[in-house]
Order: sequence, then C-alpha cells, then structure tokens
Amino acid sequence: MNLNNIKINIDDDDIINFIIKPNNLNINNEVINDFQKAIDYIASEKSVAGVIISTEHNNYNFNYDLNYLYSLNEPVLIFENITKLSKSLRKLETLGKPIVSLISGPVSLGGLEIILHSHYKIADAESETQFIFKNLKYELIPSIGASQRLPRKIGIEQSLELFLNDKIINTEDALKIKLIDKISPKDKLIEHAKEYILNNLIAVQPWDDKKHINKQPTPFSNDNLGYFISKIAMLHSNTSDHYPSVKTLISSVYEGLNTDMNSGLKIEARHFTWLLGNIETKSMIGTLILYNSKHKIKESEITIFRKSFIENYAAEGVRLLINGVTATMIENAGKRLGFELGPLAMADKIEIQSILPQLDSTDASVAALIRSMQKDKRNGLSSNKGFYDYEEGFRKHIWKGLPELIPPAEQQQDIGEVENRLIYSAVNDIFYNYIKYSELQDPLEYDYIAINNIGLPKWTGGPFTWVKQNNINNYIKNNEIYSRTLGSRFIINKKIIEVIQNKVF
Amino acid sequence: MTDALIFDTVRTPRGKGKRSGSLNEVPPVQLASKVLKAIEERNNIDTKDIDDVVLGCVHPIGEQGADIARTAVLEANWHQTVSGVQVDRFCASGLEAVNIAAAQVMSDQADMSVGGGVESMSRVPLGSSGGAWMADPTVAYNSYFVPQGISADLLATKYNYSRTDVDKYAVSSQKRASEAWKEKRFKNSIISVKDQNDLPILEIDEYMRPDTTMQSLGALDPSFEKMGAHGFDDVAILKYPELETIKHVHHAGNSSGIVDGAAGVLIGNKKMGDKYELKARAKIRSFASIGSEPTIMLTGPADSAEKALKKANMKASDIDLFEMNEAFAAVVLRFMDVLKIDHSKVNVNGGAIALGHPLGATGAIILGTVLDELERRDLSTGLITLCVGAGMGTATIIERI
Repeated sequence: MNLNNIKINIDDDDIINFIIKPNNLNINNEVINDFQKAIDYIASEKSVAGVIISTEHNNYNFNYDLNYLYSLNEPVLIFENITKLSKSLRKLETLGKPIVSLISGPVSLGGLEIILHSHYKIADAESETQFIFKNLKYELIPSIGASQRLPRKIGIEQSLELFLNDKIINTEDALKIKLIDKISPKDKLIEHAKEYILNNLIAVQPWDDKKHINKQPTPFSNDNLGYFISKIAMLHSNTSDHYPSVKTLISSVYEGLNTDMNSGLKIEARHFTWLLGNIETKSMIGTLILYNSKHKIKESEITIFRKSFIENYAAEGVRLLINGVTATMIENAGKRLGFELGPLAMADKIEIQSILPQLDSTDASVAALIRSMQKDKRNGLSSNKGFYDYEEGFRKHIWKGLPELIPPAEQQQDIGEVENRLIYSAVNDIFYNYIKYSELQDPLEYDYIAINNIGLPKWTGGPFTWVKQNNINNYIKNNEIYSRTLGSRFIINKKIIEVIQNKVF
Repeated sequence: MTDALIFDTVRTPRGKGKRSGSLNEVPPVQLASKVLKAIEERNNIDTKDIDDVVLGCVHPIGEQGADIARTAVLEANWHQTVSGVQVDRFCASGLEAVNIAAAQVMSDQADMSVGGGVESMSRVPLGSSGGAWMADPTVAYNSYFVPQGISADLLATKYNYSRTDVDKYAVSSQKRASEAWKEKRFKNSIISVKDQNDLPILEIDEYMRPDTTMQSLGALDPSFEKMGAHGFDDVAILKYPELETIKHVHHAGNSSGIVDGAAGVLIGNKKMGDKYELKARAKIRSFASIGSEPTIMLTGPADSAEKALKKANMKASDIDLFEMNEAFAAVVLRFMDVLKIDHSKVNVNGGAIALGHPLGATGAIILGTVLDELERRDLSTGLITLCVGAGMGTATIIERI
C-alpha cells in the first residue's frame, strides 16, 4: 500500500513496515484519511505478526496543520476529525499485536502523540534524537492522547513538568524516565524491533491490561493529590487568568486520569477543541505560529519601540496613582495582565525620572510627584528607594509614605478598569510609534515583535490582533471615552483603524 | 409549627487528633455509638420512638464511610426502625445535623430525632476525602481555591487583625477553657469514653494548654506562610487585588486544634417529652445556612447569624450568649466586629483554639456548651454559628424554656 503520506509493506517475517513519508508531517485531512486507510488495512491482514512504525525522513516533527483545523471552523467538525485520527490509532494500539516505533531525529508534540501508541519504542542512538516539549503556555495541548498516555506511562507529575517547562530531553533521559524502552545503533533498529515483536506476539498497553489497570496513576493518590492542589495554584498564579492552554492541559490530565483511556481520549479532544476556539489561543497562534515571515524590522527600531513602551507603561502607572488608584491595585493590574513587572516597579527599575519625556501638559502632577520623590532621593531601584523600598536590590514592599503624598480615592475602581487603562495605553503607544517610524509596514510583523521583543503580553497576540479580536468598535469607543478625560495619548490615528480594517490577517 | 425541643446534649471529651491522642485507639463508629447509648440511658427512652439519627461527618470515607450514622445506630443496638443519615456541611456538619433533626420535628415528620456528629481526625486525617473543589483544575481555577489557612490569613490581612490581635484572642480562649474545666462547667454534657471493660480511656478535653501566654505563642512560626509562597497567596491576591501581600498571622496556637470527638443532641416534640417525662431544656428558635465569597471563605458566620436572627425576628442584642467556632482567631474577631458584639458574650468558656475542633462533631458540641452555660447563668437565648469551607456559614438560635 502506498498512500501520499504513508507507505506500508509486509516483509518475509510477516511484519508490517509502517512508514510515514513526508518530512515534517503536517496533520491535515489527507493525513487523517491516510492513517485511517493504512490502519484499516493492517487490521484486515490477520496473519501479520506486528507493526514497525518509522519515518522516511529523519524526524518526527509532526504538527497540526492549523490552517486546516481553523478552516473546519465548527467545533463539531474539529472534534470529529481529531477523534477520527485518534480512533484509527487507538485501533492500531488495541489490535493485540505488537507495535514498535523506531525513533530517529527530533520528536515534536505531534510525533510524540503517534509514538505513544506503540508498545515498544526504540530510539536511534546515532541520529540527533530528542524529544522537544515546547512550552504549552502559548500553544495547543495534545489532542490524540498524549495527555492521557504520557502520564499513564511516566507519571502525572513527570509528564506535566515536561509539557509545561520547555524541556528538551535526549534519548538517555527519555530511557531513564521510561518514555522509551531501548536505545539502539541505527543498523540494529530493525533487528531489535523484530526481536521484540517475535517475543511479544500479543501486546497490550498497561492502560488496557486488566492485570495492571490498578497500578495506573490516579489524581487522588496521596502524592498526586497534593501535587495537583499546589500545581493548580502555582499555574494560576503564573498565568493569572490568561494562557488557557495551561488550565486546559492540567484539566485534561486530571479528568482523564480519573477514568479509562477511551473516556480520557474524548476528554482530551473536547478540551483541545474548546482551546482551539478560545480568543487568546487564536491570537497567539495567529501571531506566534502561523506567522512565519523573516523580520525586516531593524534592531534599532525595535529598541526605540521597546524604550518607549516601557517608559509609557511606567508613566501610565504613575498617572493612575495621581488619579487616586492605590499603588497596590496598579501593580496587581500589571501582574494580572502578564507584564514582566508592575508599572511602578518598572518605573523604579528604569529610574523614575525616565518617565518624564513621556509626559505632556496634562501631566503636571505626575511631574511634581517625580520631582518630590527625587528630592527625597527616591530615584528608583538604583538608590534602593522609589515607589518601592528595596533591600539589596530585592523589592520589600511599596513605599509606605506614598499614600500620604498621593492620597488614594476612597472609592477604588474595579481592577478590570485599571487593567484596561494599562493595556489601552500600551497598545496605543505601539501604534503611535508604528505610525511615526514604520511607514505602515506589515502589521503582523509588528504583532510578532510586540509580544516577543517589546514586552506586550503574549496572550494579546500583539496590538493589531488584540484590537481585532476584541472588536475594533469597542476599541474606538473606549479610546474616545479615555481621551475626553485623560489626554491625547488616547486619540487614535485614523490610519491605524484603516490598517486594521483593511488588512486581512 | 411544632416546637423542636432540646431534651439532652451529650458529647465525648476531645482527644488529641494524632496517633498519640487518647481517642486514637477508638474507631469513630464507637465514638458515635457511645454518644447514642448515653442518650438512650440518660433519658431512659425506648429507641423505637426515635425516628432518625442525623450525624455530621466531614470525611465520610474508610471507617467513617458508608453512612456512619446508620452504622452507629446498629452498633448502639438501637431499634432497627431507627434510620441514620450522614451529612456534610464541612465544619458546620454537626450543627447542620441538629438543624435537620429539628426540622423533622418542626414539620411533624418526626416525633424525636438525634442530631449530632463525629470525626476521628487521628484515624481519618484531614483532607482524606479529596474533592473536586481543591483538586479539579477547572473548579479550583474558577473558584480561586485557596486552603482555609490562607483564607484565614487573607481575612486577617483584609480586616487588619495583627498577630498580636489574634494571639491575644487565643490566650483568652485558653484561659476561659481552663477556668471552665476547673469549675466543671462542661459536666452536664460530657461523658467519659470507656472501653469494653468499662475502663476509662478519656475523661477530659486533652488538647488544652492552660499555660499559654503571648510569649509562648510569639515563638510559633506562622503555619501557612510557605504554602502561601507556593502560589496560594497569589491566587488570593488575584481575587483581592487591593492587597499587596498576605500577612500570615495564624499558627497552631491561634487556630482550632485537630482532635477526635463525637456529640449528639436529642430533639423531640412535646408529646415525646410528656411520654418520657423529659424536661424541655430549650427550643430551636431558628436556623440558617448561607453561602459567602469562597476565597476568603470564612465570613459566613455573620451572614448566617443575621439570616437566622431575621427568621427569629430578633436582633443580635437579643442574644445572651454566642458560641462561634474558633476555626481561626481572626474569624471570631471579624464575627464580633460585624455583629458589634462584645467578647464578654462570645465563647465564654473558650473554644476550639483551646479545646479542639473535631470537624463533623463541633456544631453539636458547642450547641450543648452554650445551653449548659445559659442554664448555669440563668440566661435565655444563645446563638451558635460556624464558618464553613468553600464559603458558607451555618447558625442556630436556641431559647431556654
């Protein structure tokens, strides 16, 4: 059998070679159909002893074709197509015949998902075989069972730590944690695979083996319960209420590991489908994954953008303070948005007088506050005092004298309003510089730079994407309201609106 | 509506809730059945006249699982027609059980019932029953779950109770409890726990530390600081962004003690009182449970107290004595501040900081405590309330007859 994506032959030992043909396989409709055809064929060949999965090119760099997934549009279609692939591979896994995978070269999440269906995994000792776990914070979770199989194979904590921490592990480490079963020289791979097949003519995964099913990890064992409770808090604290893939992944593991593989697969696929439709996910995928152009923006230009961005962010924090918002609320708003630091901590870091160039005629009280703090030698981090008090460079607490100097309003705004002010101001600052320096070049490029080099939180997908995802009319309306009381930095240049409205992205 | 009359209140002493605690050798079903037996004997009743036994239990798994109320009925050798039901409203389970028993009588669906509770924290440890609230990522994220100790410290931070404030409160709880024991003020309700040879196992609340001082408490490290630093403080601040940090003021000495114990309250109508010539010591005036914000979790007592007061057509100033579970010192301080009541009326014989808090049993224990004290002082009205996990409160108002 020779399909576009998969080639199948049966050798003299009645062993099927299942060869995945494309380099860097992109999982799309055709691939899903090819897997189904190939596996249906294998299932119909009753006399074969086992299956050896390998790749024609030296890698398991398999990824979803996101354009294909997004073209499906409807959750029901996404769920059905994912499940179709998952069911085919599940059929292979449960044939009762030994499935061996030969692993050469880098393995991405999609490749890992396929490999995990095999009963025996042999890694090539010679090629640059490694398992690449990209930080799922910005990406998609598994969809054909890796969040179900990996924890069942190597443990819940071990697998979540791999998924969430940008880990790349080599074959020795993979063997140590039992992600793979053997490392073999390249020329012995087939020999070892056949040896396994001929010694294990009936093969069952541990999660399907009635004898071992009670030994499968469960979220409510003593170790795992404590891990879940504290890990959830840690993840929530690291992501605030953004980066939904993190919550989705840990939910998929928790819910799935409380039941069997078949239900677990459905649980994971439902989470995946939901995540794909989430606005933040779409924004991040659009900018971080789908956008692959080589950047033409000069480093010097990026430096200008970044400097302005940081100073503006700090300045907006101080303006909020002058408007009566407590320093704590301002700082927490910044943290919740996912900025590296709160605006006032940022002001301290860059020295508080750095915000002065950002100020205009409406900012007299901001300037007065900065000057009065300077008189008091509260210049920022370098002098160990600023909006915070520091001890040997470490933030201790917000300066206790601040409320006396700038009394907070009795009625505090909702934190969401403070967050809005900061994000609008930040986005507007990037647009201002885009108009001033960039001659209306590709906005997607500026989205990419904004979240990777300038400091806008990644979940926004960049300023253009963020405005688009959040409805441009809201953006216009809110800026109008802000500009009435807060000044010209909230007056949007019409060209920006045109760029967003005309440009398809 | 029929009056739900309280005929008797019975409780075991509270044993330290660890392996070395005196009640560790007693399975929880035995603690509960000893309470039931005492109720039967003290009131000389034929148990076929009892309709139902409602018992609170917060970790109904293992030897506390499978409806420990019915199991205790069987072990107490009560008449087979007596049904049993276990209820869980976390820390207020024991009081909820009393309220349910009272409701059965008030609505004429039962003539006589027992409400109470049991918890062997030394044998079935805190947290044993797991739960989606803290472990299910979707639920924990969406509800901003933090452990109760973090909530207590959050409450103290938000309402400005300092370490000194909470420690002072703890010292007074120990002083009051120790004085109460010296004067044998618990004697009417407490039974001694004995073995099958009638040998005493425990006769006193053994958790108390009467020599507690501000200095001795000052030496204790905050219990929840480390836990807070591992993400939970941040989660609390996500919910309460007006706070810069969480001040960790609670520790083993100003939080409720982990103990074992059981309690029961015999509740019936006048017909049953007449039949067995039982003195109606008090009647249940009203009761209420309520939900409150779950991350700070522990502000429910004031809300539930107000709800119960309203139902009884009363004001806080109409209550002679309050019994408020001392889960954490700051919870009581906040309760007194919201209801504007003086410490001289609250937990006059100490509370769970000194005596311990056997989760499922406590509500029924402290109802007995306040009724005994109302009788001793010849006062009339008492309000019992507890803070409850996941943001709830339960309160009951009793009035002597």
